[in-house]
Amino acid sequence: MNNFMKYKWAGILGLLLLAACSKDNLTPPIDKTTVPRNMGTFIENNYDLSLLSAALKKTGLLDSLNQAGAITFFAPDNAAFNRIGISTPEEIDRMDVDSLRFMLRYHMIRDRYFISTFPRQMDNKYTTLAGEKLYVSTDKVDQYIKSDLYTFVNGAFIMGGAKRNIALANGVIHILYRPIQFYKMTVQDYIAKDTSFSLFTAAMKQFGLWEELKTKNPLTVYVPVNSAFEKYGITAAKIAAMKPAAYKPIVFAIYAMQMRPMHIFSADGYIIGGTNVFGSNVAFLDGGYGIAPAYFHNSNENTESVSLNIGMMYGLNWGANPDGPSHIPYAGSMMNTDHLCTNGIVHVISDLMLNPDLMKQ
Amino acid sequence: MKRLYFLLPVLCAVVLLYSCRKTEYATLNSPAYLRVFNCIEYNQNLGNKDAPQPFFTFMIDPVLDEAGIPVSAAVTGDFLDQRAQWAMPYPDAASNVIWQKEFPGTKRVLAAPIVNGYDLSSWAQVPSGKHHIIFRTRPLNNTPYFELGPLEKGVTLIDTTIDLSAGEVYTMHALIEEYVSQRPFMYLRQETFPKQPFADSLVYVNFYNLSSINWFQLSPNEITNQYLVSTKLQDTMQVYYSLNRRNGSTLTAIPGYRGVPMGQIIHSLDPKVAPYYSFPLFPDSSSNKIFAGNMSQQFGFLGAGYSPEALTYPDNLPVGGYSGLILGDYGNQDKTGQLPFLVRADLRTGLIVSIHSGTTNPRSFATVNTIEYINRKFYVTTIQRKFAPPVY
Repeated sequence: MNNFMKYKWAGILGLLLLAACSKDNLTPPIDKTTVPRNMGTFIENNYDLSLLSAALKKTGLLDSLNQAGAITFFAPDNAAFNRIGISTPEEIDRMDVDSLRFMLRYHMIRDRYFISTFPRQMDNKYTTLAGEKLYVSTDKVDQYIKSDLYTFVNGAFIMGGAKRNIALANGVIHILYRPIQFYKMTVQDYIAKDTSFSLFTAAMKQFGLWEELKTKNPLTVYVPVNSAFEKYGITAAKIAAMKPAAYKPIVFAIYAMQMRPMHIFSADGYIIGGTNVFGSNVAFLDGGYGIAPAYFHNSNENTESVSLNIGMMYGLNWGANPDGPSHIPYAGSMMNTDHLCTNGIVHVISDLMLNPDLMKQ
Repeated sequence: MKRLYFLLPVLCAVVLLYSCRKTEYATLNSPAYLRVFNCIEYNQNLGNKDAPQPFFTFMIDPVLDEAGIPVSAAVTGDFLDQRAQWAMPYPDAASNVIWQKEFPGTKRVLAAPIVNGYDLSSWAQVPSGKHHIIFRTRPLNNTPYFELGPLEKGVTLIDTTIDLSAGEVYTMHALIEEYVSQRPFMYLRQETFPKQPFADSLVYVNFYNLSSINWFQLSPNEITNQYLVSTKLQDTMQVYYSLNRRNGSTLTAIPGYRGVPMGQIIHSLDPKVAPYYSFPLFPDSSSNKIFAGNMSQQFGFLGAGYSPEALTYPDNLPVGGYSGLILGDYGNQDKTGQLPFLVRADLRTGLIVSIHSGTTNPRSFATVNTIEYINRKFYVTTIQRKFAPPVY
């Protein structure tokens, strides 16, 4: 054997030895060449998040957001705070520390969730750092591009583009269109504590529906404000004089969806309507009545429009509500939607769904 | 020393022998063969959006923790989505999809061998004997079941036990038992086709109506924006078949194969194998007996008192009077009252599989088929014998 052959064989042997190792599947290591900032630092240095930063400082949570450990933070930016009437750090400063802390912690969940990691379905439940659950719903159909999939937290829109999936060293930030709310009280308590719902409270008591607002779970309650009753000339005295037997049972039961186990956020009708099945975005009640919450987000102007459609099924077709308005705006602003309580969701509306005078039997 | 260099090639050979990928092959003693379909449909609206969605993890012999949540299982069929209209004769091995149309689907499992000539690679080997099985709902994402968080692990919709005999072929369905209660249940059918004396010059087909109880009576006959004419099947209907050739958009029956009586389709949730009927692989006497030629198979399902001859315009018939299914090369047909169900199956030849085999491309092969009607949908399962690999 000459020298050349020797080297050749030795070379082949070497190659074969290298090739002889067990071939395990490799996962490429994560690129760690650039170290991103912590969430706290990011929020503190972002002008659009100055109100959030003030709130986090006041409650002592800013430091927690600089600690290790992955957190997903659904963060309301200044525009979102403005939409609930908070526009200066002074207004934040006047807020109660404990309830503010609870509210902020309700916007955070453990672990790192990018939009694509939320299952493509409605009401994915996550336990927040406040201990209560929030619901993330994702659009069923692809809108434009997958990264901008319409996604909602408790009915609040997660902004698209660069305002979602903000990856940071210790978590992810998604900017919300408006803050989300959770009230550690029953639906009944929530309605009772607000004097602008006193006529609704009186009507529910008069028609024997009041106690169920405490015991049933889950519930969706559309609460008309007092001015809605006044529009029809209904006063507290008139409610007290109403005889429930003289009215169709749905006259006030419609506001609590006849106590059926439903929890409907303001954007749910929009999400479920993406399946394109007729009637899927409508909650049907007795007597053919249907309630369809409508939602639209204009991504060009970054505006949101929500309202409530009330209709009636005539055979196979959807028609106007014969006993009241077919279209009801939420009272005041869209910030009066999606008040999540321990046993249900309260939405405040500006008109009665059914005119009691037309509902006599 | 110099003399030892002859050892180098020997060493190379030794190393070469050891350099293969080290794989431990799984084997199973006395297995049964199982294929699982999820036949439950998504039916979500605003009123029932909290109801669990039928996207399943199928488990055999799950180990449950104290809260009743599975922590592991002997066999897991994860991401079990709704079944496809046509279950192909063999799994698409090149596919790397995560969501499955059936179990095992494209999941890498110990597949069943060839039994009596039938390619059962769409069946998984599972241990025979008594087993606990569950169908558990799971979120619609790509995370494997056992890596999900405790809030995401869903609920058990079907929980039952099965007894599998070694060497037998089983088909399992997740179905809705009763229309009003929407209660899901497990349907397990022990297939008999590997034991039946089937000719390879005939195409066999049997029919099941696995609709929910009360579905025919109570489900709506009309739904807004949906064309539902001739889509409901009564409990017993007569089956007639036609074998068609297409000329442009016109379907013409091959002489002698128009409206031929075939048998019955009977509504039953009893897991009993329905009788197999057949039609010839090469019905056209002018064919070269290698490729059957582009064709479609049309099945008409007629209520008592109707015959295919008298059926001119089925749109005016009462609900349950007529329904039809067409497979194969039917052109760009739309749903009509005459043809409310269209399933492509093999693109050229429908229930006949035409594929490159040996030096002929295409070559037509006879198959054994199961056609299942479940709550206004037809599902077709095609089983093929092993065939000679293509020679290029």
